[in-house]
Amino acid sequence: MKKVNDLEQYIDSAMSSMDKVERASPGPFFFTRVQARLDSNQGRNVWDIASAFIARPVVAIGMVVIVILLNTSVLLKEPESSMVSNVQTEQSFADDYNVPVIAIYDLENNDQR
Amino acid sequence: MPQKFCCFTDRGEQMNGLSDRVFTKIIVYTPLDERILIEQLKEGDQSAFRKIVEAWQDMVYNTSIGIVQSPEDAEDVSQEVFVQVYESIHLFKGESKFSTWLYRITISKSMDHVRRKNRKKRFAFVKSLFGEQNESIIHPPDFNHPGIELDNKEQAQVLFKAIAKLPENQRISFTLHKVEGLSYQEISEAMNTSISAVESLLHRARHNLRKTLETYYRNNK
Repeated sequence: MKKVNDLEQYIDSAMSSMDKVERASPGPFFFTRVQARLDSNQGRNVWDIASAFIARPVVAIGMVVIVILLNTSVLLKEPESSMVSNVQTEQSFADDYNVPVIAIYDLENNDQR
Repeated sequence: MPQKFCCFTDRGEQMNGLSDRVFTKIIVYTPLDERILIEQLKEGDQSAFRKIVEAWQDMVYNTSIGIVQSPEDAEDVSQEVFVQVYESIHLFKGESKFSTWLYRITISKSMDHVRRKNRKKRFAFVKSLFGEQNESIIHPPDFNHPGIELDNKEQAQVLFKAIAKLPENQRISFTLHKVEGLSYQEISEAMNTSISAVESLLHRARHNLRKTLETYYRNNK
């Protein structure tokens, strides 16, 4: 029983240890240091700011994800468009050089004759 | 028992402190003076910026030190806060109090710092598994708030350790309440939430702290 009371006392004393806390202050000449930091920030050129922005993990990872998604979408769309362009190229080649293009249904038509 | 007192000088500066300690000077501006200073800063007036920094540096530093629990880091965060104030003062529309706006920037910068430090800690821990030692990052020294009375230092150290384990919102609300002495209303404005939410956060914070302290004292006493 005494042990439980002691424990409660320790907890209460810790919980109330911050009741009379005074405000902490930064070291002297704080404004001078803020001013120096501001000056160094203003001295940064556009490239420094841009490279710092790109180097942020969220931005870097986000850009990688976007590149991967774009590549995936291009790869998924590629087969359809390449097939169309292949047929078009074949047809235009045949027209330009007057080469007869034999399709399967032509062969079937010949057999029937 | 030292007597607490405060007084105003003829320049509107408030002096307060304890009779057996060094005076701290708090500069208090009326809302009108505050507005004028902000307008001057928006026009790029350096002396207005100096006055703003000197008037609010203790508030920013004290809030930050309560959250980041390191004097050096708090100094760093406070500088960042005032740089941010200088660069984005044009975004301050005066819809909330200037001090509320400052609290929001300080909380956000301090929590960013805590998250960054935690990431570094995790990374250092992973590195230590591969043989590279970085003890100071993994086990930083216990924090002593400079404003705590000498008799309470030890208990406060244990309490700060427990506060560091609280979830973010509970940690912020408890620190603002205890270290900065803000009312529920002021905390709700700084955290952009309702008063009942603050009450609930503080209740849960106290409950969690008691549980952590109980475990600590059971193992160490």
